[in-house]
Amino acid sequence: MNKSLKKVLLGSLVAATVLTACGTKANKELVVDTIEFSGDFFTSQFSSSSYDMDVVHLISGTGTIAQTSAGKLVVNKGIVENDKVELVDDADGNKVVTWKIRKDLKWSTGKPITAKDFAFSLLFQNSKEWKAAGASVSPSEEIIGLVDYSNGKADAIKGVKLVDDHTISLTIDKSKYPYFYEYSYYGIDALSLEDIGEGLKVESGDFGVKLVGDVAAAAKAIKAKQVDSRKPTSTYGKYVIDKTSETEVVFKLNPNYVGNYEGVKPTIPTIVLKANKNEELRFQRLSQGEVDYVPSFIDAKQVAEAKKSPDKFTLHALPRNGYGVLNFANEFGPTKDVHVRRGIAHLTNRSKVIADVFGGDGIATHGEYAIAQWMVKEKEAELNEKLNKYSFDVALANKEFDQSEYRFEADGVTPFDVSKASETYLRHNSKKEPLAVHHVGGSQTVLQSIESGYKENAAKVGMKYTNALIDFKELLKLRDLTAANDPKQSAHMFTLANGFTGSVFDPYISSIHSRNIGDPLRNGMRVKDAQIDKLAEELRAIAPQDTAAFANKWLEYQVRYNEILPALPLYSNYTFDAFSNAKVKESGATAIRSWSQTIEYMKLK
Amino acid sequence: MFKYIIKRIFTLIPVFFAMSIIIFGISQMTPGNMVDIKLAQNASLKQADREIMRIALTKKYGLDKPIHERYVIWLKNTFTGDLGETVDGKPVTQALAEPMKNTIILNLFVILISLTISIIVGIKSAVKKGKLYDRFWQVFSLVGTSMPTFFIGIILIFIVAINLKLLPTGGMPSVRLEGLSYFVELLRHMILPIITLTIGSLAGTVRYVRNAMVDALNQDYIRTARSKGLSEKVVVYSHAFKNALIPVVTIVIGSIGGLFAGSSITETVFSWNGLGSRLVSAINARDWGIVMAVNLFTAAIYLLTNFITDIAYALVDPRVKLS
Repeated sequence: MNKSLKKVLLGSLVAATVLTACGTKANKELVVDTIEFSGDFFTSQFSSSSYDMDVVHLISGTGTIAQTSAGKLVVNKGIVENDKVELVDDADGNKVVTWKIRKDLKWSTGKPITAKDFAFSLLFQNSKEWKAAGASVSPSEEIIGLVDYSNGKADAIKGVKLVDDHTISLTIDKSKYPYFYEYSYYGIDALSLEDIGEGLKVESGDFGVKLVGDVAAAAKAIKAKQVDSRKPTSTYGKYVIDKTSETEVVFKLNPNYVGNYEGVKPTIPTIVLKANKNEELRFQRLSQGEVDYVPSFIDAKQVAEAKKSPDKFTLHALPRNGYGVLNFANEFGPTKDVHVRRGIAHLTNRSKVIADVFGGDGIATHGEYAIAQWMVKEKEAELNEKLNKYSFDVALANKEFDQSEYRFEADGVTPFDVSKASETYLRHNSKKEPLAVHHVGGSQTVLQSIESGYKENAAKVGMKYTNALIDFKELLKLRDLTAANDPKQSAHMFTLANGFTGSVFDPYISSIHSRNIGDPLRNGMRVKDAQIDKLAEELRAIAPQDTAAFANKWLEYQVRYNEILPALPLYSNYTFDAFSNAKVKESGATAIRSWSQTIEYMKLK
Repeated sequence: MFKYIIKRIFTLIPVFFAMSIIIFGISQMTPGNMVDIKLAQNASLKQADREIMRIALTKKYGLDKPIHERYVIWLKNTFTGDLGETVDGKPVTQALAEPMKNTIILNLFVILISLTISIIVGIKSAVKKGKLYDRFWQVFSLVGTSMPTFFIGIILIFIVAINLKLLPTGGMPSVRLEGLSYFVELLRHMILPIITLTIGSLAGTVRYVRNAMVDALNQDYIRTARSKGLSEKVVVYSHAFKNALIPVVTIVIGSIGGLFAGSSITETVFSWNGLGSRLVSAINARDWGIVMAVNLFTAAIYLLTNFITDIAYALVDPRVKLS
């Protein structure tokens, strides 16, 4: 070999060894593995991913209502002086809540946090100008005048008033009561008017509160400085951003932070979020010591790998606050028929999906719930007793199909003979339409696992089954066609996932109540059932403290859901936070609250 | 020469426009435009509000205009430095600044190392034609050409990072580091991607240099030089290598464009925040602002390198007359 080449190789080896020795991590810091930052760290109104949300959780914390680790809504005593929510009726019978903001709160710039900052946040984040700048704005309907202000029909929010520098009141529409989660009405947060308001002013009077100044110009400037920069300049939270790049955010403890709703402050001096695009190597990065904490991974192979070394790594299993689901188009094609939906449920081998996709770390659910929810724990026995498990059984599937409209041969008159069922001998309805369903999915693993049951057994029940693996955005587009009941819709079944917001379960607002029909996220499959509507309305109207009544009504709702089966829940699995035993003593993450939301409870060794 | 350069520049212009039409056309034909994406981001809005939003966004992104008008607007904006915005509302120029810097740094090392090794090994292989040294590099270049770069990357991660624990599995150096420590960390993170890309690029270049040298060494003027009693070093480096440089120049300059376009997979495997991995993320997110900008940039680089190759040819080969 050439001498110079040998020298080059030897030199490279020496350099690599020296460089290796240089690569050590400092103590007193937690390096967290994350995937890729994509949205904003400011108000999360610009398509923030869950990874961006970790940053938002660490640097934001001015909400007047907080969530406990179990997801219970409580008054945030770290922000307000109030011990509890006290409501007063106004002349119109609407409810007024008055928040007294703590006087010792300071923004990261050192300026005091005042009531004006809360009014500014409400006004700016719901303004039409901020929406025009690209922000996703969805004003809450409860505060009087907020929706009109947001739509540009009013220049002020009538239901918000500044009482003094540290006191603000909100007027809540009387028609919105009673509500089990009424604390969610009272949650507002702040943005620093002085630091980031770009010269805007907040005025308060009988008209409510309004912004004065060039809001459009301010929105443009705020977007550039606070959103696009990915380094908001004035924040209040457990941490402040120290340094940031496209792949890394470094946080230091916020010296101005007074504590959470319990007065607890975080103790880890430095947090580093490192984004790596290669998801396949998440566990390897942990085992190499490149990171100390890997949140939310579900990949069965990586989980199995981590389980091999319990002395080195802890796997913190968190029941998922959501579930995988097979959505049916409820107003289109054969899946309009409840017995077709139930028949398909019997052809779905859900245990196989759980085994194939999650290595067995999950359970089949039978209603609109996730294993993380307190109601599930409370009503576990009744759920087991009252809900149909829709076992994987071709005979039971045929029994359901026989009760459906699709019980005839091709002539639409002669009863279908199960013993003749084949790929060419299909079920038809009285209009001579065949039982043919098209299934779309965005996850190859899930689709492959689930399709096997159908491909093998569809002919045995006289059903034609087709499917397509499509890009997730295409999947959402098809779902939107179904939501709009568009003539171009083509799919009858969609494999998707549903998640719950914290511990809140309110189908009237966020799910299949018929008022939400056509809304892709809430009732995109166009479910319309009077009994479901009634139960959803009764559920939300239960008094906040009456958890027993809520759990009972919730059970009734699940039984009805299970009966009409607007969608077939497939699984509720576990996600895993993995951490190095050498570095992390305990994690505060729960099923409802992520590691970044509970960082004050995490301890290093 | 000056005339030729001007003429070549004029021939490049229609090619550039043709490429821009193709890039723009494909982006418009592919399903999932900015309006769809923004609406999906706002799926929580009610149907009526979504419709209002759809109309406003269609107007904002000019999708209510005919396609040729949209093309003209896009091109005009591109020439004035306005590459549009990403799906999360960030200016494309801002979103691409850091990845472009990282890709250029990575590829400069790759080109430099690959060229150095190719020349040394290519010359030596030609001189020792048919011997063990030559055979080894022949096999190496065959294996290097046939193996996909992502596979080389994964093997290197497995051996060097996971088993030997010598280098990180990927990623970028920490933003907290400055000066020398940042440079050292940058090198640590770059070594594996550089080796991966170098093997991919080296394999072909070694064969080119070797074959060019073998051709040159068989020429009459080499026999003449040897018969004049010149030392083998002078014969090889001053006479043969100078002439062998001609095809090598084509390959080397041509490979610059290839390296920009071809590092998407390697950058993704090593979580290197470069143009290639940004392009992959953008394609997945239907972020057409980024996709069009990167593709147009790559197309422009290819045109530029072709142009430079032609000029360089004339400089290294006196037989080529530019007219």
